[in-house]
Amino acid sequence: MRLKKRKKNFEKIISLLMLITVLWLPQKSLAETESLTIKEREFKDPDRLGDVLISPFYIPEYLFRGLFWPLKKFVNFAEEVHLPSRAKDFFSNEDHTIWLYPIVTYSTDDGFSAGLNFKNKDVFDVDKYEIGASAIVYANSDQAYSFSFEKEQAWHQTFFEFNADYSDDSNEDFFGLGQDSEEESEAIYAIKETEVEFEFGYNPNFLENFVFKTQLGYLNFETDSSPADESDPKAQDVFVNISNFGFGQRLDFFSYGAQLIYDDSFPNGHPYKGSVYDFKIVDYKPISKKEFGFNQIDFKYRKFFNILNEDRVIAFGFHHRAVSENGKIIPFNRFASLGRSTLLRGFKSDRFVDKQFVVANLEYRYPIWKTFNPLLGYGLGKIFFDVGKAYQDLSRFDERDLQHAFGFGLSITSPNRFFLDLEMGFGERVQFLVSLNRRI
Amino acid sequence: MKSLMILFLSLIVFVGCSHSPDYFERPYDERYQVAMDQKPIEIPDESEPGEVWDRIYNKLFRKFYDFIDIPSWGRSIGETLSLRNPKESENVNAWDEAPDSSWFTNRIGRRNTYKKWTSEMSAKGPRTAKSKPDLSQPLIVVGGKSNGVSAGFTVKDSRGELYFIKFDPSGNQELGSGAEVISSLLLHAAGYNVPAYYALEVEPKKFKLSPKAKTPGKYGVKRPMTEKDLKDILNLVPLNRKGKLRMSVSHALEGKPIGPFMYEGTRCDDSNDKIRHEHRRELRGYHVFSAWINNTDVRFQNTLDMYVGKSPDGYVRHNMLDFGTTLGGAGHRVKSIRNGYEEFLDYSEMGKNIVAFGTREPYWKDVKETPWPSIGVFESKVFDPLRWRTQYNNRASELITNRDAFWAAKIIMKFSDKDIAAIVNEAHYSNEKASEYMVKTLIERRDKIGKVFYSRITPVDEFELTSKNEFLFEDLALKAGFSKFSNKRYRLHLENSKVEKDIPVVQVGGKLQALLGSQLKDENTLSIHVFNESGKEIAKGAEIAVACPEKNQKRCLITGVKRNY
Repeated sequence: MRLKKRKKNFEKIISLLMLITVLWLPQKSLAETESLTIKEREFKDPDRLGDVLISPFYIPEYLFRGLFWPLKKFVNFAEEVHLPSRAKDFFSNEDHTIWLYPIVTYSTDDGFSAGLNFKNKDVFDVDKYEIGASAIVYANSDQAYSFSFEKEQAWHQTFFEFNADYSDDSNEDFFGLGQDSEEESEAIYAIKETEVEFEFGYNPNFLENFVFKTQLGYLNFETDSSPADESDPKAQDVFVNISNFGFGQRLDFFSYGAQLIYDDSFPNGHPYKGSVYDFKIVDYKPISKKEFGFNQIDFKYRKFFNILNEDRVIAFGFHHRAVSENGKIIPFNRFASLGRSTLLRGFKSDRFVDKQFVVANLEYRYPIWKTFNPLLGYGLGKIFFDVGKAYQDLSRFDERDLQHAFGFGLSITSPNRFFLDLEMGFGERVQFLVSLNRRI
Repeated sequence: MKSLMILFLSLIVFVGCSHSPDYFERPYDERYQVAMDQKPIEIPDESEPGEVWDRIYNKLFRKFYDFIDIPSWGRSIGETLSLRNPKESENVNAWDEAPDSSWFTNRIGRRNTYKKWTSEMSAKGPRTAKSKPDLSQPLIVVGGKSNGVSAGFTVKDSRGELYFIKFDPSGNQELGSGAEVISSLLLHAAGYNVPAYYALEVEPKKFKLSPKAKTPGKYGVKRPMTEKDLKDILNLVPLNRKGKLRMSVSHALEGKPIGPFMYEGTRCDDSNDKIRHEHRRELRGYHVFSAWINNTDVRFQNTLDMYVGKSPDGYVRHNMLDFGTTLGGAGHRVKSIRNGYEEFLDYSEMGKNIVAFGTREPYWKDVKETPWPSIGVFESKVFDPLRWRTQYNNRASELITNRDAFWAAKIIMKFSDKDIAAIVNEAHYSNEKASEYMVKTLIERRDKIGKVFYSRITPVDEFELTSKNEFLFEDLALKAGFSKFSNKRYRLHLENSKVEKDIPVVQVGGKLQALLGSQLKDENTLSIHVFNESGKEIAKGAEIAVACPEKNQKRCLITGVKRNY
């Protein structure tokens, strides 16, 4: 009751103040300086404090100036001391061949992550060789490190690429094997994985647009029996049979494979025409525990159509992966897993795990803006529709169980090759992703 | 709470709709052609506003300011409901024109001048014998270029006159220098203060480095300029067929530079600067001039205040400069196709693009680069004066009203084809076809501006009251050939303390005439209304105030003009 009375009194005071203002303002409005004498105009110079006292018309302006004063001072200071140039020089060498890129990502599934990417595009003072390294730390203390050394791909030449990756994930999701897994029955496990690969490639001069690659590699991973957060359900408690598939064990493999690519898409980055056929087979031979072993076959197809002009593109994608055991056991985390990371957006990564998966994507990209600005570059909008399914073999493939998702996004690419992606996927869940300088 | 809301809304609407006084209420001294803004003042401090902040502020935070500026909501509501007119420029005289001031000098648009403005005067511009560089002797390089994107430096000639040199972009000879000369001459003839620009060709060996020359080094810190620096700059610029360097040369402005002026607010330490810049007619109207010459870079960086005279007896003169981004050039390169049609970050276009999912084409999709490297991207076919955009709007150009635009269009339309040809000739384009194209495009853009802005306000002007009380005026649309006399009907309505009647209007020579005779009394209002063939009023007319001193009724004078929407 008392509160109500106070409220009423407050309303009365405000109403009275407004009434006074309404009656008083039209005569004192600064918007009407025409009728004022020169002397009065001088006094009403908006940059002088007196205005605040005589005209509430300038209160928004002063409020605004007050709010942004520190920012304005900082921006002006930054410009005065050439902060962007200093930052560029800090993150790069004099010739701008060595760069440090910040990496920031956010997703509704994994939260924030931040890291640094290092690139030297001029190793041995030869612009063909490039070294890269990155370190990323997630909000939940997961970590990922990678190193690469490559001789860049050029037509009619040989090239190579060496990659070494290490990741330490304490909160890896597992939803069980097979199509019928449910998101609610999510279990957590920890995994440390090391993978080293060496790829050797060749662009034959007698076959335009073809690339042939061979690869040798080493894979090691160790799944831990307890998640980082003890309140999370443990994988072996939820899925009692997964220990048969290598859970809680340290496994290592030697891998070798081959890849054939046909690529006539153009241009790099955001192609608007052409197609890509990519066929890859890798066999993983066990080193320590001989009962495990598998091979993985991937077939990817991408086709780009432009509508009316090169800015509007329809991209079609298809990916089929088959993992077969060859009489041995496939480790549970190396099954063909379908989810966000394999372009079934709107679903968690590795959401469906089985021996095979198939996923198709239809994406429409259209321009929103184009500038020469080094930061803003050009912005592409996209709308996508993804459909896919994980299954054991073709005889059990039921097209009625296909999972599908749709969404939209924005991709900003600057002339300096910085990029920012924003994406909203609607599938089993609403998934929001932001990434700076890293495709996720 | 409900009562509070009602009162709050009434406050917004009432304040927003508050009546703005018209010319009748102004003191009579404001109808003269000269503004008294050149009174002696102490030299103001040099201002150094931040370029980055200006961008951020204009593209982002000003939108926030507009949002919190609640009285502006009221004004907008009032304008939408036609309860009030938009805020008009404050520095107009009784003829609804910008008077001569430290900002602007009426030249081609000057009223009742005995010495007519000629094409030769347009082509000469601000250039004098003193401002022309002496090329018979070496040019001494005294400093590097500290801002802008074109290659260039500062030189002194044998007489010690200071010049700023900018070279044309590689592959686009004559692009920047041509644009600077043409645009500066057009703006000068219109009335703006600009430096004297020349498009010249000089042999590289003409440049000699002064031992005292300095250039901005790393992070803008000045360091001695070396022969290598000079060579590096000269190596960037290709020689033309004559083995010379083509460049734009601008003579240093008179006085001491005290930094640029902003397109809003005032300079606190200049007591002559009393009218907020966003409410200055010449700065609002500059948007229309910019549309004509495709000046997409209307920012404070391209302005400069000069203190003229010795402190404390001098005053501040406000100048426009750096026109390398006008016409078809963008300083160091050809303009991007979208420049002039969309802002740098055009939120409105972006919003439409997002919603349209790529189904909409920009209206400027057919714009192509011209075949002449010296012209770049400059056209008149797609150009629409109402849709033309700068890289980002300043406050003054956002507040432009139909009256401001009409004033600018009126001046632009005063440029004859001959004036334009004479000015373009000063760019010394080596390709005659390029030169012809430039003249043709400027003429076509001029006419488009005239057509558009003459249609948004009744285009009657050049009012004159003879000693026989014949009221003469012109329909500018008629004069420009945009309409025919036979398609229009005019009505002149006279109102004073004794009479209120319509007076017939006839065409006599090139002028429209109404005989008022002895019907004029002490205070009179003449309202001109223009109708089309079907009797529909084309636009709200103009009101002309005529005062007749009681003792001498025959010497009546036009005391002011009010243009209605």
